[in-house]
Amino acid sequence: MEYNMEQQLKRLFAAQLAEVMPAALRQLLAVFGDSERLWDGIPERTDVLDCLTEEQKNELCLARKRGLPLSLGEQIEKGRIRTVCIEEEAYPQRLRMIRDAPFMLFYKGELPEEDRPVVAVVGARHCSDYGRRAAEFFGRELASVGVPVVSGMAMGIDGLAQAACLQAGEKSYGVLGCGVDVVYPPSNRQLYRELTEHGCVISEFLPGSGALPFRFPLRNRLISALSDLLLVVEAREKSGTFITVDYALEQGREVYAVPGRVEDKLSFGCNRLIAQGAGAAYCVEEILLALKGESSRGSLRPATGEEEEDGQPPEAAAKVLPRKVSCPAGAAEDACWQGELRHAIRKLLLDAPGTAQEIYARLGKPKLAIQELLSELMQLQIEGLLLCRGGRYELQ
Amino acid sequence: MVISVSTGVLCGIESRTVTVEVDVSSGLPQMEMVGSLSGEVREAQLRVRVALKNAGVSIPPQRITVNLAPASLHKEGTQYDLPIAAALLAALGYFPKERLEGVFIAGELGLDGEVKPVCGVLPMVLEARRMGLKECILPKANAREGRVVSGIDIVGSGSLDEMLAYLRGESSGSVEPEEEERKGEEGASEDFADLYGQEGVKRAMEIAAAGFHNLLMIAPPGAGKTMAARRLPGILPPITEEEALEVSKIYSVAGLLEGGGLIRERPFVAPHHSATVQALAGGGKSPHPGLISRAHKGVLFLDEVVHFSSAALEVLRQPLEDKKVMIARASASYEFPAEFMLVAALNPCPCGNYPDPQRCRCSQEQVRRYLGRLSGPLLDRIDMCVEMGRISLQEYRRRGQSKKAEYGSAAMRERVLKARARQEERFAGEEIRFNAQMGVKEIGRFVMLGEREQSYMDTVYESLHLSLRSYHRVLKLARTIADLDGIEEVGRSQLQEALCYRSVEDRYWG
Repeated sequence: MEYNMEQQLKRLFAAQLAEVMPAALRQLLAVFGDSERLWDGIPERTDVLDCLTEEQKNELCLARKRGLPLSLGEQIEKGRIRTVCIEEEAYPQRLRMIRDAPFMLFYKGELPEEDRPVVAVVGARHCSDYGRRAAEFFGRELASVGVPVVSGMAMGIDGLAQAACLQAGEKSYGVLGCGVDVVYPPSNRQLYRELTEHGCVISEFLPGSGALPFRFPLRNRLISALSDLLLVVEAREKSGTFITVDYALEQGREVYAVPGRVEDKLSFGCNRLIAQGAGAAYCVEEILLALKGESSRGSLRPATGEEEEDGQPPEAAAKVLPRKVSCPAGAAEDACWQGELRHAIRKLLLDAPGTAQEIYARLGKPKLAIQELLSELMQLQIEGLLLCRGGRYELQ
Repeated sequence: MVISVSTGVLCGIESRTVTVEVDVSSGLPQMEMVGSLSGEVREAQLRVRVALKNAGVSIPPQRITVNLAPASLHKEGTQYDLPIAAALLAALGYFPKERLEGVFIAGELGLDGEVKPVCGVLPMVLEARRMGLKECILPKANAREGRVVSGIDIVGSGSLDEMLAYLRGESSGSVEPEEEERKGEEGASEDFADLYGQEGVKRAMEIAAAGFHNLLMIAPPGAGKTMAARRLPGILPPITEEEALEVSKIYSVAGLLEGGGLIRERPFVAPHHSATVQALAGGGKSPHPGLISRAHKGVLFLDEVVHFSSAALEVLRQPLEDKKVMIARASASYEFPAEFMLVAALNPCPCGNYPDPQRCRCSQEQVRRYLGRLSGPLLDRIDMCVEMGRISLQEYRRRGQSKKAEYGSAAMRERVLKARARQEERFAGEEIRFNAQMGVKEIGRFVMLGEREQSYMDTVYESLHLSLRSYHRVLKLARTIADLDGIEEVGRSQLQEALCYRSVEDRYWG
């Protein structure tokens, strides 16, 4: 590594500049050619700095005077952080395409493979039970057909989808809104560790950067850029997820949303996206078809005379109904839900999760004692069919 | 010539006999009081002097010395006015001094000679009886309280004149007819039938009452936590005579025995969350019982328990363990009984709507922190935890129409009584009385699991990540549930139900 130590430090110098003036750095690099020549050239060629403001010039001169970022280099080496620079071959092609591609990426683990499709799964941090199940369903099912999930390792949908993907044995990629060596949110420490082992955590921010609000929208553009398709699982009417959606559209990525119920606030954003033309992710096959570019999306149109002449309708109608789809509420579990009471409980919980008291009231069985219901719920929990969070029972 | 008469001083909730000695002899005309007296006792001489004057008694210009023996005992309270006046009257020859032998007197005097009520009459009369005294002269307002104690004559006097007339044998004293005992046993307390729906909470309360388990309720605002807790004393077994006397003593000392007579209902005490350590535990130079002691044999309800200061909550630990509060002073340490059932309530998160994602926007971390304010040692002493949801209006209306007797207080109490009877049988000859008091050793002896149940618990222990402590708690609870169900051996369904009530730390961040 001796031969390019100096080159690496010069790149880190540029990466530091990218943090404070990304646009200016791009211009400078265009003038100088690459980061090495930038470092070597700055002291003499002050004439080319005309594109910068006075402040930026001062900043640049100061940074140059401070010398090569030795401590940063050391920090990266000690933290076993890997870097890839836009000037290198290994830089992800998907990112190279976008308008404001980061100069340098810091990561731990292995970068996504170029020739495999990747799906970004994003959504609300405070998700509902339905959102949780949907995120886990898509994470798991996509993984089972070999499609890795990229997301933001955040609380809620992001992390859940990634964890489900990892659990199903597929790689997953987490794009962080902080330094790659900072675990945020701390409750996802376990996920972070697994990501570094199977997949990677990526960040464009310098190691050690804290999780500051302005960094997350920036991070979102990388999530969509690293994927081939963006899947929104749950979003409120006003949600940060839409930042990601906007980036995805700008970058030319497909956008899909998981449809939800009309009265669920958390599904409002998704349903609106579908109305606006996003694909409806009602099953995994739909996503897979979209990845292949064979989606049936939008082919359901009123039969007008013109189309009739084109000879289109028969095929289009066939496409509307894919031959075989896996319904999220799998029939395989049914075997565990035998017995009248269990059946009734499951039916209720599929509708909406609830506390023991709510379930009791909704069952409306006057002969059933509350203690019998409690026993049954506990048994279901032990068998791993139910989940109890804060007294609310949800289907596992 | 020295005249003496008995009165009492309060030490904690007990009383000790104090002898008032009065000597009138020639010398400078002054009145002196000795015997380790606090301010209000020292003032007695002025009240006595003026009250006597207004009653038409002229005090001769002689030297009057009053001693309250034993002189080493610090004396507080206002009950000494009347005995001092009585002894002084005897010394002045208004009646023979033998008249005061075997007589206990307590009462505060007004300047016009009116006798005012005092605190702690009940323990004083009990002590007087123990000392073998034959009659008590008490303020009229306290007479009923005194009459609770049998085997000693109680005379209530409303004024100095009345007492004097009685002591001179001019009136019979106890003229007022025996009032009818106030019946507060039934009816007065609220009924669980008023709480529609919420069978889960009612069931939990029934279990708690049956085994004397402390209970934690987690519920959003307005779910009816207070309403439920207030009804809990009503399903506890009726208070026994002995217990009533003990509780009444505490209330007597605190000056809260309004209207006299024994307390016939189990107390329900709900301190505000701004309560200080002293307010809860009791305090003062010679300590008074605090709110914890006032909940003796009843229910202590802490609403919004996380908002209590941590020092106030820590003070609960000792009484929960030892069933009493010890307050140490340089002169002595005082003991107040405090055997209560703790019912704590709190919201599930700062906004109160967790885990409803449609309404609650608190982060997981906030929820965790909110519940984390409950200290571990306190949680250790709470066996049960139950969630309570808001009840929908439809449900409310539906339940309102068809009141279910099954979860009315009367039916619940009956079941609780049966469960208690089973426990009494089980723990005959043991130190403990309730399932909640079982330690690990007792659990091993009294909660026998069959082979199938044992292997069931083995799997549960792993799959629910129980700690050993919560495992034992589950067994204790299952024992109570079996007692309620009238079953000798703890079965699987009892274990399952008990697991539903396992404590908050297991379920929220286990």
